[in-house]
Amino acid sequence: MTIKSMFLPKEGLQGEEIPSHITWDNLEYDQISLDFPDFLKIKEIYNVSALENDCSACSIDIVSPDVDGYVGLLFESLRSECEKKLTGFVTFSFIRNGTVFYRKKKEISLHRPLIEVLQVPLSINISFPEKEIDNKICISNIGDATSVLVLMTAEESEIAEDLSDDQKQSLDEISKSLEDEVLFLKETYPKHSILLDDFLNIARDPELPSKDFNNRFEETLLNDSIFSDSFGDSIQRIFITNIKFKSLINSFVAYTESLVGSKIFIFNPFTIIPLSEEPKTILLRLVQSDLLLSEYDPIEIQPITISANSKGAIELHKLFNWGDNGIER
Amino acid sequence: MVLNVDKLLQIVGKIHTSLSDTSKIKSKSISIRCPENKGICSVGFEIKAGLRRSICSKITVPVPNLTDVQLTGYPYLSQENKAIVISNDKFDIIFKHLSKHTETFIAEVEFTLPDGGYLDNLVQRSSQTESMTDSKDEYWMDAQLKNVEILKTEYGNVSLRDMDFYVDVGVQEDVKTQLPSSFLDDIKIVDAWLSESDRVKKYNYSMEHLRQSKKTKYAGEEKNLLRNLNELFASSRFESFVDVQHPFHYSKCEKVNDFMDLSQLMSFPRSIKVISRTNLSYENPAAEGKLIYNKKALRKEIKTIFD
Repeated sequence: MTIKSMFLPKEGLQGEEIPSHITWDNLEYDQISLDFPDFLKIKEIYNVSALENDCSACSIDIVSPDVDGYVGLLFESLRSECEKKLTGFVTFSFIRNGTVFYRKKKEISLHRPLIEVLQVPLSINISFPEKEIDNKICISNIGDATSVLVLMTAEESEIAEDLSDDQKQSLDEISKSLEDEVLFLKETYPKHSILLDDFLNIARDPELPSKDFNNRFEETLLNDSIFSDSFGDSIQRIFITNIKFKSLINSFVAYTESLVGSKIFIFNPFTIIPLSEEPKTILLRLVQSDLLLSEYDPIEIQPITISANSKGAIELHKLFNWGDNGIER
Repeated sequence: MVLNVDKLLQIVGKIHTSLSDTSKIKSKSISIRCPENKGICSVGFEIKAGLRRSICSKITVPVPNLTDVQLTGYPYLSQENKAIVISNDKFDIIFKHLSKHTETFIAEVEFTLPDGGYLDNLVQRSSQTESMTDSKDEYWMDAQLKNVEILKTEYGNVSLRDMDFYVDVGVQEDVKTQLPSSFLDDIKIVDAWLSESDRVKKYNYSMEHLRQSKKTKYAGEEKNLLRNLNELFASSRFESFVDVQHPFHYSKCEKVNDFMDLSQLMSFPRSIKVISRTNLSYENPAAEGKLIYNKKALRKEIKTIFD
């Protein structure tokens, strides 16, 4: 009698699909009971055609796997609105004559990012040319999972987000190359035309790409290796066409500035806001997601009056302090 | 797309039928090499007594989309490929070219499968999205057959070989935390200088960069340092920071670029995509694996660049 293996990941993201399986040799049993926490729900069960009870409960009984020695599972996991960590056990119990003679259990913890707004000043003054900021918005991610943030100004905001002229020019150049390459790919792979159009639209739009698009995109690259190679070549050509010392330095600065504080990643570190001496109100919205690109409710920051000692522009992310105590790391 | 077992078995069935006319089948198995979408039919056979004496004798085996045949003699493990003649969608085994005193052979017949893209319907492949433990250096991987019975056939059990698994190993925090702050300050001055069009302001940035060059060893070396840093993420270098544990094995790694964000296109990688592989079969319907990322070693290498 041997349990060959039982798998359950120790950790994952809330909302992520969680696999589990058990394999065994030479076990005489009447049924196998599976118990799992309420934040997991069975999505698929493998090698079992008939179940003894409803899958929606936190327990199921398996009498006869199709091929003895293996049961596989895929759980859906739920997201908590406020719990940064959900912990529970998955247990397989082998039962003979009404008695459990073998039990195997493993623990899982599911994490989420949890953004806390610690402090929002009523007003912010910025001094140019040093770009000194007298008050900052303090934000912290108290969750263990990475938070991906898109910083935006709301439509009603007097101050609207923008990109620097330099960045716009650089993006225009890359965008032109990208259009050429997408056109070439569409002609060569007409069956992927819709996907390539979506890709182009998403690449032009600074907002987060949807999870659905990412899944479709990744699946296509995985399943069509010839297209995948051509796509890689196109990206390489865009890179070679647009490579400049300036863009390399610029993108390196963005790379280092996009990771702010612990477990907070800024998707759009280049976004700026134009400023003048005239005080204006800014309404900020933080669109947040995790690394699965599953979105959480956006965070609306209460109105802030921003003024500067002269005309200028500043990167939006510089209005924030990130970290446990709002202290930038 | 579901694996078309009937089509697979038709091909394998023809191989078996062709060989069993002249031989006794002694062993059989089928495997699918997933990355190349190739089927491999392995047949052990003993040529019936007397047939070898006929100098003109041969076996013709039809195999649609045939790509290769390897023939090995037993028990001496003799290479018998000189007896194989491959032509369009078939191969011949020429008896007179087989080693003398060898009656038992194993043929490994490789052919392209009629359909691809079936793997996701046959196997649940999962891997960790983000490593959240303090050390942040382990990623789980799991493979499970969705249907085990489909792999049991009259021509032997089918095994699936070298299935791809993708894990994105996060590296951005390792880079950022190891960069000296004086280097970051210096890079920001260079960035501001490059972006400035006003002549007076450009001059001021030049002077600031000059002052910086007297204070730190990085000014003027930015390009080389960034190149050295970027080289760490080349596949040939980064693989030394990754350990994929049995029953999975390392295949390759590549930088993950954010294609969706044009401004990040030319940036350093936020993560490295590590591709591992594993096998599943009727006998082994599930596999769990672990990828260990040696972040301490990478951080040490980054630090060395700036020392």
